[in-house]
Amino acid sequence: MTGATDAGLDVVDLTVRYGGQVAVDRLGLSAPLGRLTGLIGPNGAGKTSTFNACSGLLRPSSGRIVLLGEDVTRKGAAARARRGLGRTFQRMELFTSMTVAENVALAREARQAGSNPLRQQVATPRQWAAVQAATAEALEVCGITGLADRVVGALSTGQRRLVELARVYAGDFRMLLLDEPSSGLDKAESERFGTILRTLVSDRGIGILLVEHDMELVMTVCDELYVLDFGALIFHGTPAETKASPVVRAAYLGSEAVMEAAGLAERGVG
Amino acid sequence: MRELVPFVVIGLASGSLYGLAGLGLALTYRTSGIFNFAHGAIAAAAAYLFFTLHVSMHWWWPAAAVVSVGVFGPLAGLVMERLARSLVAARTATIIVATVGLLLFIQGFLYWHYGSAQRSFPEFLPTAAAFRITGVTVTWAQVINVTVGVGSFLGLYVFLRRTRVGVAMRAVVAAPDLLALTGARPARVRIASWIVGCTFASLTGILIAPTLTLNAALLSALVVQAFGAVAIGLFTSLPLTYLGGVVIGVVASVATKYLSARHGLSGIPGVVPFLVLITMMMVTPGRKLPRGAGRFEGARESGRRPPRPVLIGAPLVAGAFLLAVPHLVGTRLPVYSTALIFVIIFLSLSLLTRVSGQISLAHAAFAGVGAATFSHFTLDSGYPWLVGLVATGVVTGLVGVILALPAIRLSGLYLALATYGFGLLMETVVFQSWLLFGSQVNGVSARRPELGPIHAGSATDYYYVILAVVSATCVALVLLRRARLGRFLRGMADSPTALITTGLGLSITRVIVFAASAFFAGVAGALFISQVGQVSPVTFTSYSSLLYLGALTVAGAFSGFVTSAFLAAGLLVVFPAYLSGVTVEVQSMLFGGTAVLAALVSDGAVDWKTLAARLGARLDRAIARTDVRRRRSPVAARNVAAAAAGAER
Repeated sequence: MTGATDAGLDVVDLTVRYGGQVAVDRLGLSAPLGRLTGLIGPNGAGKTSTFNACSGLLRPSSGRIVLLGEDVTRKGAAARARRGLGRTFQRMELFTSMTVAENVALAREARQAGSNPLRQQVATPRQWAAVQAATAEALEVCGITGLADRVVGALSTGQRRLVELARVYAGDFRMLLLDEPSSGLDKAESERFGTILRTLVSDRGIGILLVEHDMELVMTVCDELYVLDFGALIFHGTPAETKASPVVRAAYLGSEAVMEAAGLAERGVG
Repeated sequence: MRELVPFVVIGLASGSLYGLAGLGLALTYRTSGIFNFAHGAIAAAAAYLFFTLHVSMHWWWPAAAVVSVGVFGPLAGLVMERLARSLVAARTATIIVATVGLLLFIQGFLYWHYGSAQRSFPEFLPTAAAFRITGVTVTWAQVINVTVGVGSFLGLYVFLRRTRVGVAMRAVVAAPDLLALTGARPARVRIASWIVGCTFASLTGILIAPTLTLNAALLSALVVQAFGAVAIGLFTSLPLTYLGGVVIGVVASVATKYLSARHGLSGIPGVVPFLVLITMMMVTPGRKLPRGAGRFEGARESGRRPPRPVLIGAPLVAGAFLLAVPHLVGTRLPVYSTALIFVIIFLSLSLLTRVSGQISLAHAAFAGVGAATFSHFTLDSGYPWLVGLVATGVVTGLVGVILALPAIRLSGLYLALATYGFGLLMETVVFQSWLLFGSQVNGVSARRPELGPIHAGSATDYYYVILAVVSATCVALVLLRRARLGRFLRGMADSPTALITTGLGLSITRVIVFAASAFFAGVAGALFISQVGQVSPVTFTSYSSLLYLGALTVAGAFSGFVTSAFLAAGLLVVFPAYLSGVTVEVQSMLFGGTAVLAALVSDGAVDWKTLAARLGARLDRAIARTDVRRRRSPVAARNVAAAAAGAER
């Protein structure tokens, strides 16, 4: 490992093509540890494609992904996760037939087991203890301890979002990619979500890259924003700078309401 | 080169028909997302219908052809469309089970109604020489086959490009929702494509039957050639699908010339389509394969657990019964011994399909490998019985690792196809080699164990040996399900993506589960050969694999992991021993039909309650109508009709 201590995730010159369509165009961004970085843009801007390329589910046409100072472009998704990259999904990927506690525990277990055939079958007592502790803590932090024994398939969207967050928390990842974690949440849940995210960043020093449509949440919690449009980076700055940017406004033309809401939020929050 | 010409001619004629079948399959798959494993069975049904009309009822052949292609084809298409529509939102595994169930049902019905004997199918087309190429006679029948193939392909091509429905059909493939917005009705388009697809299948059926003799299994296996053709077309391209069929026909025919005389390789021409299919699957990047209908989730196991007394009590009661069986059933003991062996087979299959959400259509092959390997270990190498049993499990487990290779790259439909191909390859080529069953018709044999107080001659003693192994398997698999691996497997069924992105090396997990499943199936095969003394390769065919899956689906609809294995074994083995009418054919129909229903119900595509309510309302209306006719009283009729409408509400 080289790189600075706060090097979280660096995306260098990333290009993703689907056939002839360029989804992400020579994108460069860096999401350091201990900070909350936002990635926003209109629908189809290439946010999820960027996430998929970062987490290794999608092979980029060109460019590099550097995780914690290490070039992981050629590593698979599981290897990146074991190196400390966790993520959630816009369309949640949960183990719907299992309980909340099992869901949360499985992330830690998966990291421990990796590709070791023996460890995939049974856990050592010490590993098991670590899993239990991490699960309890994650449930506590996300405020879903009361749901621990419920089957995920029976939960509401908001609760599921929290389960997914608890899962990446328990996984002990250094860097998190959160894909629209607040969609489907009501206002109170969304605020609570923001608080949890801030706690993660300040207390545990992890880095978060956040894709989000809820501008209010983005503007409140993020330290820095990257704005994508048609796969290309059109703006990079603090939330205040972003709000003021005419370029960003133009890109969101037609989604003016979104920016309006953000403006209101600014006044509301202070 | 010259001596190849006759084989190329035969290959072109049959290949053109494979292409035709492939076109129907590809068209329906692309427009509906449902891959129809019963495509060949529909062809078989059409051929049998033609046989009945033309041979038994002495119809003029063109009339028989019109009915079996022009009437039966579209009707089958309508039925298929109805079925497909109910399945669209189901899980991929459910869709596969449903069409496999349909295959079992149709094939079982044909066997049951017409008998399993092969009949010669009349060559109704003129077999007179049309012309000669380099001294090789080409018959009119062959010319007609090629013409029909090419003509249908061109017709379809023009239809898709030039007609309104055809263009809409291509639009359905691209974006069904968008098409619906334009006012065209995707449903109508799908009906059209199923009608065309099933008509093509029927046409293939009656044209190919004269060269195959009339046999339900052979004809249903026609779908195999169609699979290969569709794979060459990458499940998308119609021209490539047709060409693929032709290539497969020619390659298989030419291979026959070179390989049919070679011992051990004679089965290869028959599996050319599957070699093609497997190769295409292994070399094509996954993202180039289109996604069919269905959700990519595995088996659904409810999180509910029975209460504790049941959890402890039920095994005790069942155990006591199983211990007492030799004293209860008299001469039927062998039936119960075999059934217990099948419990292991079903448990191991359930581990793959139910727990981890994988699909395997080659499970009988593992049992076959186990049986043959065990014979070699104990009789040829002289291993003690128990050592042989474990060694057999290990060897079969390694075979399972081979099958895991496609499982790493493929999922859902494509995994099902690859495993089906693997099963056929084992059945037709590998089983015949000296490594396994050899070329003897009788197959291989093995003895029962002679361990301390256990006597090889006593059926009762061996029953208890089997019971011990079954109990050990149950305990092992229940523990495995509870252990970390079990959680990973269940997680894999729900969301493989989530596991990968949290750091699990999923390929390793897949290898482990396939190896474990194959291990137990191999042990079951070994127990089986000890039980019956002699096993030939026909015991464990790919058709058996489908039957196992059908039985397990039926049993699994009502019960949990362990219970469903016992229930399935009971249905497959014990049930027919008590009802003389329940032959394999009837079982095939029962399991197939029920599997289709179970598939429809399990995913909520059809809900028993609404179904019952609807049937009830319809019945009421029917009764009302007969009442009306009988009484001819308009007032009473109105009352009854109103009552019926009320009942419906």
